[in-house]
Amino acid sequence: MSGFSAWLCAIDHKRIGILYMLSALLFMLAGGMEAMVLRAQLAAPNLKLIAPETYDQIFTMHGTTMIFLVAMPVLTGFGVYLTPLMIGANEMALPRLGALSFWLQFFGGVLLYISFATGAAPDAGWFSYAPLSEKAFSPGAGLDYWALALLMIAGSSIGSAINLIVTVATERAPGMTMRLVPLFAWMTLVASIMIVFALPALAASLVMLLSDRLLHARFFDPAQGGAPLLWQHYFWIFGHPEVYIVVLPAFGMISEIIPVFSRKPIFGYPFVATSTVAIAFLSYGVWVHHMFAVALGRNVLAVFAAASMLIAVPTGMKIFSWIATMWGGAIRFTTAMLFAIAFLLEFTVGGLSGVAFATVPVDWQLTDTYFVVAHIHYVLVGGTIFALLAGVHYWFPKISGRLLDEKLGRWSFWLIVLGFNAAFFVQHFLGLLGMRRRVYTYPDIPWFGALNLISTLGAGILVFGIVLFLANVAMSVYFGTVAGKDPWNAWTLEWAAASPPLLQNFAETPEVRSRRPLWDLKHPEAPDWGST
Amino acid sequence: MGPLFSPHSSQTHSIAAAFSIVLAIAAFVFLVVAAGVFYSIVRYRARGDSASEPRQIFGSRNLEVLWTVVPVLIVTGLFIVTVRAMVFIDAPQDSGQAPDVTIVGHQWWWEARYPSGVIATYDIHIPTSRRLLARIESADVIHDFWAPELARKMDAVPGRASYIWLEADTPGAYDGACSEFCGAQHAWMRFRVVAEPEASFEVWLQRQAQSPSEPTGLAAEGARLFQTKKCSDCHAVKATAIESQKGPSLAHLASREFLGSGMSRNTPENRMLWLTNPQAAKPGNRMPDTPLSPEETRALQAYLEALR
Amino acid sequence: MTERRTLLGMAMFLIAEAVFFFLLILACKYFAAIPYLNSRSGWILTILLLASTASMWRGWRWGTIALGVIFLVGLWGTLSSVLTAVLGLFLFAGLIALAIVPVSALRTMALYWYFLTAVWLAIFLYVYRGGAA
Repeated sequence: MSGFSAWLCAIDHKRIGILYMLSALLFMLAGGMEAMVLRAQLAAPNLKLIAPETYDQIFTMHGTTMIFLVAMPVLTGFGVYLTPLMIGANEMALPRLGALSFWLQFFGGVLLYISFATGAAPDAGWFSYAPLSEKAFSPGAGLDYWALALLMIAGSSIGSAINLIVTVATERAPGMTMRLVPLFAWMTLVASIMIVFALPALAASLVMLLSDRLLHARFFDPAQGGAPLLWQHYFWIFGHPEVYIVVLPAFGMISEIIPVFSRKPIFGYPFVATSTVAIAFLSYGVWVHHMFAVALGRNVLAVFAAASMLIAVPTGMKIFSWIATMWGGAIRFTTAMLFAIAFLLEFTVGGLSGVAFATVPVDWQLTDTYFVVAHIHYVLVGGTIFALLAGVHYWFPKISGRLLDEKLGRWSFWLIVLGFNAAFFVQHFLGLLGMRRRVYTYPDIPWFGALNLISTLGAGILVFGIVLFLANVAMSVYFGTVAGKDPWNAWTLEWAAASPPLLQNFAETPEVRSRRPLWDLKHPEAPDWGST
Repeated sequence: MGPLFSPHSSQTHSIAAAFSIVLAIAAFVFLVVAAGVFYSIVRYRARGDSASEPRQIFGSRNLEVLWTVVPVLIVTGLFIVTVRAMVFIDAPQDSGQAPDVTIVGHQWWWEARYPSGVIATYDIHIPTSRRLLARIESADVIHDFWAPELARKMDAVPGRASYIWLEADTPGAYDGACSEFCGAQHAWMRFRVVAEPEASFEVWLQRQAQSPSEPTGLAAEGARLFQTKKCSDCHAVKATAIESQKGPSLAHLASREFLGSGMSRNTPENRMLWLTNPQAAKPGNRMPDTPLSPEETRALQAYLEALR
Repeated sequence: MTERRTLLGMAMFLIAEAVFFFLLILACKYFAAIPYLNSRSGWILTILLLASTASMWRGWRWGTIALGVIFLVGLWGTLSSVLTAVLGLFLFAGLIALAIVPVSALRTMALYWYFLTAVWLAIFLYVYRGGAA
């Protein structure tokens, strides 16, 4: 079997991982184009480039695509690709489940995009509040496509999470106890466990929405005894853990990259690992912070405010650990490291704007404004995507056998940083000035036009930077410098396999006695297991 | 700067103060992080061709404790600030007290109902002399009532009533808008809170309650068409209509500044557009396209102009 | 070793399903109209499902499938609600899986069967409260 059919029938985890990455890339192009249409329409007040209904479809598709068809799949792809390599295994535990999960996700995405072709894309936002999402107010088929596609994607996500959990539980190399697992694998594991507990809430919500829309059930219809707020509770019981699900693997990547390019081990591994578990638990106790503007009762709001503020602590702890890892090191500024350093600053901004929202009265002014849009993009793009870009630069040599071009990498880095911050930092101010989110246009209020224009131009620069990055990837696959097994002088097991790894990752099962098996091999005079 | 920094009520002052505290904390934390990052990348860059690795440090219990305890203290302080502001700002949700004004969100316009029976659209008048208890409702989907200079946001959830305090410390017209995505024209679901001294508020209320004078001539023909063409099925022309209607009230239309919840100015051309092509006036809105001859349109125009 | 993997995978899957059904059952109990269920029909269905589970416990694959099919037909004939439709779908998928998996996977499938029985009991006793008499 060769070529196309080899990929279609693949169950090898490395192939599946690459399929996830390619699928995410495809949908990222769609989501990115959607974003540019939105930004074009918002570049000046009272523009009429697209109809309001079209705008609503595009922002809904943009959010849905980026979260469910880009962020989650690409992180799953890296998880599936790297986890067996990092734990010294030759395959995932349940390979056919892995393949099924990929294709379910992919066809879920296709189903979602078919809705565009029929002129009825979903248009109630990526979290589709009821009763706007009910048949009475959204009579078209768009939301039915949305719900069915997301059901497929949710199933896919649960499948791949199960596969990852079982793999880490049963396939670790001898000597690798849970306390010695590399942080990327650990955080991917925790995120996978979170998926098992959170995605079913999304599935339940979608089943109820479809029942209301297609079977005349009345879960969310107040006129018949249902409750619109039920949708919000159930959705956010999924939705809040979800955002940590897409950020924890990113944290894992940073935890691998910063140590290698600082030439020091991660500072405080036990605390980084434990704080991850703390975040996982706490994330199930904060969902109401998405509903602070609803009159739910002061005590309820206060409890969730406390939890939302508390979750900043284990998150912030990691930032300090990463800085402490760099401190006293010998830092090499590869493109991967540049993105990791930028991540530290960007994610901190995003996290701090999150603390603003945890402060309930401030939320009572800023929720549903561009301040939120700024916040989510700082954590999801400045956080997850920047970590991902670091991760691509770091692991591309392992996956393809070749290095990415550093010069092009630097150019794309600076353009992306410039474009991203220009696009999104001004949105904090737009929110403070009172610009609401999800508006297809706005009146000519002082500063709205100027700041929106800056945001649009910044988005354009960001796109250009991403295009350069993609050009780098495309070029380097064929013309990049051959990387060899271990181009970065790194320490975890994936760097002991060939680049790219053979079908059987490891000819012989590696010996593991510490968190940095390759360090131990390279430094027999000062192995980790002798000092920790 | 913007609405967050031009508070005109005690509650928005309280929120602005809370935000200043958040901003100070955020600036402090960011500076600490940025300092740590920049110091590291300058001081600890790899020098020369160093083949030897730096000292391998695995952690420090003391530092971990420090950067756990300090943030916990900071958020505890922030939490106290939060709760105190919440207590100050929050209106009772089940006091049994009759509201001073009931505000209802519709797709895509706001109405305000006063105890005297007056119903106003878009311009919600309040007296500056006291704090009003406002009841927030929705007639269809979830909306959110937000007048940033005067009050906190409050979601209007169908099937549930919620209460906020509404007050202004100085007379003026304060912009507001719906703040929860509610469909095609969420962008143009704006309103204004017009705060004025008690005396002029009372005058306004009485003027609103007056029925329109009997139309004559072409306007009378327009009034007849208003019934036969079924405009009256959705639109009231008296501000004291008891039931909430399917479309915004047109009472005192001629004396309004805006049409379409802030979308366009109240000019004859814009009124004409609403009559002849509602979908062009506000795409996606629920007003059906009623075929009208030019004479009928002129008569209706005259009638609307008479609704002072 | 393979069995350990599939058992663990099934356990994780059942945790996810438990969360799903828990939330759905809660919502149905408080926010949906509960269609009428005749008490006798309900108990007959329950006995059928328990018999199917007992057969599963004893390792009789085709006996389990047969009883499961009868239960399913009875369910679709008697009830129509979101909960039972969803349970029915999961049961149907389980029947197909049971027909095609190798013998080594039967222990894993048994877990699935016990789980579905527990969900049915929860629906029947908690939501329908044993049905109207």
